[in-house]
Amino acid sequence: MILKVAWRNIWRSRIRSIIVLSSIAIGIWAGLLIIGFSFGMNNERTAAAIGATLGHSQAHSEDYLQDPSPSAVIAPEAYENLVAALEEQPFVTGYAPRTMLQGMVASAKQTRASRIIGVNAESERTNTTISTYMQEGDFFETRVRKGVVISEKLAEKMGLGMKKKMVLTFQDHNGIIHKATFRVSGIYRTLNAAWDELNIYVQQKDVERIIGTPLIHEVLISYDKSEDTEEKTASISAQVAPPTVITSWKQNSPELGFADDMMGIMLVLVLGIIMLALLFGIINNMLMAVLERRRELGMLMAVGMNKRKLFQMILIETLMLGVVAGPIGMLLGDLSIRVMMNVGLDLSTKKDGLAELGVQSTIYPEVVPEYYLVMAGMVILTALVAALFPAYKALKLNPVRAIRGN
Amino acid sequence: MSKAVIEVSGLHKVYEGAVPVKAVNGIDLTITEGEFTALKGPSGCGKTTLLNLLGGLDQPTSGSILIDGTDITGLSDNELIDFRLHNIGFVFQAYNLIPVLSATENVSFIMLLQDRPKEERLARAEQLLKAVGLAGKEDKRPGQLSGGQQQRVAVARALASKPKFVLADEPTANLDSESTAKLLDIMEQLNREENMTFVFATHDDRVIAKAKRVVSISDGQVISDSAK
Repeated sequence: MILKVAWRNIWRSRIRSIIVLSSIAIGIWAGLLIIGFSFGMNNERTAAAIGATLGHSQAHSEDYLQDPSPSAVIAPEAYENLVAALEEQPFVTGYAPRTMLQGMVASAKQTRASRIIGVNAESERTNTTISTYMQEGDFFETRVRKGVVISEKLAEKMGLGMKKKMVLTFQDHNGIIHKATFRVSGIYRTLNAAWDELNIYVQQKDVERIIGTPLIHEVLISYDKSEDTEEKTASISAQVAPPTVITSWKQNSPELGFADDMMGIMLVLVLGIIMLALLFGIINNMLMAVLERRRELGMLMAVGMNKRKLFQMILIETLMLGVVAGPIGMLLGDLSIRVMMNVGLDLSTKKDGLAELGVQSTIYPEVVPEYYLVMAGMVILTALVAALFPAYKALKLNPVRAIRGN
Repeated sequence: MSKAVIEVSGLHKVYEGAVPVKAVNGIDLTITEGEFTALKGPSGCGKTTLLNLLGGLDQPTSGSILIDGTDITGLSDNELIDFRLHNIGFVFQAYNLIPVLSATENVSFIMLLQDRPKEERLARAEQLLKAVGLAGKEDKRPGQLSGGQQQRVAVARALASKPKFVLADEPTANLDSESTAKLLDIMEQLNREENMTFVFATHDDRVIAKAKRVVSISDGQVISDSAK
């Protein structure tokens, strides 16, 4: 009967209850949308970075991780051992060796520092999504000698276009400076503006011809799925002898890894702030309910309702607000996310700023079921905390004075 | 000889303030089982304070109150609440029913507090509502009942816990003549047939006329005590 009394008491002040129930439902709806969009944005950003440039993990020599100089190569024997180890792992879907050189690129308009990535075009196309980001030309599909693929941003800054010449200057593993003219054969634009501005792609075989020997500084490794990346990376590491070192995408791009790790904490904080706002709304509602029902509560205490049962009654009444509004808010939030998953949130007016963060201008939310449980738990906790002060006020009532309405 | 249900001796209640008010000033009173007693007196004479003290709703400044042999002045707050639940029935001037519950639910709510089984609660509520003349009104909420009917539900509620006595504070103050007469008839009948002890605080002559014993109070003291 206590449940029945609590349920009916909620509807005693219908408008007030509808307002507080709406505020809880809207708070939950907003919380779920924030979670959905945050996960959507972060996962898309991470997936894009892993797919286009990072891979799930990378292999380097120990020296390269200390100082990425041209001499810090993976020796041919170590590379063979690495390939053998990779081919043993069922979750490794492919790998792409890279030559990584720091150098200068020059056009008629400008000279800039750049990272020159020498790739095996076919493995890079197979194991990354970089070829899908081409704006002009292609990713070394057309046979061009000494072709270079640069970003749209770099092309704009250096006044370059398709088939234009640029001069690349770089140092080899012996410290010898080489200078060579390349012709723009493709222009790309990834979601990461910072990456685009720094990195240019050439073919490994062209670099080999200039230097006279093949150099492998980095091997990008792709997995079948993005889950359990750290465990999979550790599993490869166990098969590879030093000085070759395997590092996961979180280690290779700490800012992305940090964002991934921090997002959970930030979302719980955001939800906490939403719950805090709801907390005061619920306290206000319940406090008014208690004060309005002073006579009734006084009567209940007079006829023998003990403090535990009185507290229980107010607690159940408060919890019921959360129990009623919670599922409504979650249903609305879930429906909104599923609709937005098809439509997306168009932020094209902030396109450039988002590109700096490696995010595209239309954000698609994701359904994150585990956060529904977190949200449900937080609503219940909020209702429990909100019940404390009104219940305390009720327990402090003097039955004689309360019955008189004082 | 009937057993004493309430034994009060040397009871004082002083409200402290700039000018201390002696609301109850040395009352000795014994009420035996089955009495139908009215505490009469003008407003402010101390009858409601005395009723609150008898009901354990307020603590005396000094003196003792024995209810069926238990001195309730020595009980803690929680013990008093439990004592009231099992020993005392209350009828208030303003009915004080729970507006969201039906007549049956209002009556059975107090038995729920006593953790009685549902079947027993419903059967007793039905029996009591019938006894106070509200058969057929079991599902009505207080807002759907007249003042007199609401007060009869309150009487049924007071009896639901099978108390040793019922304390009624100005139970007819908000009722018209017809409702008052009906309510008094019902309470008199319950007193006669079930030997239920009733103590009223009232200045309503209609209640005083029905009472078998009238205790007159003035300035916190008993000035007369007469049985009919």
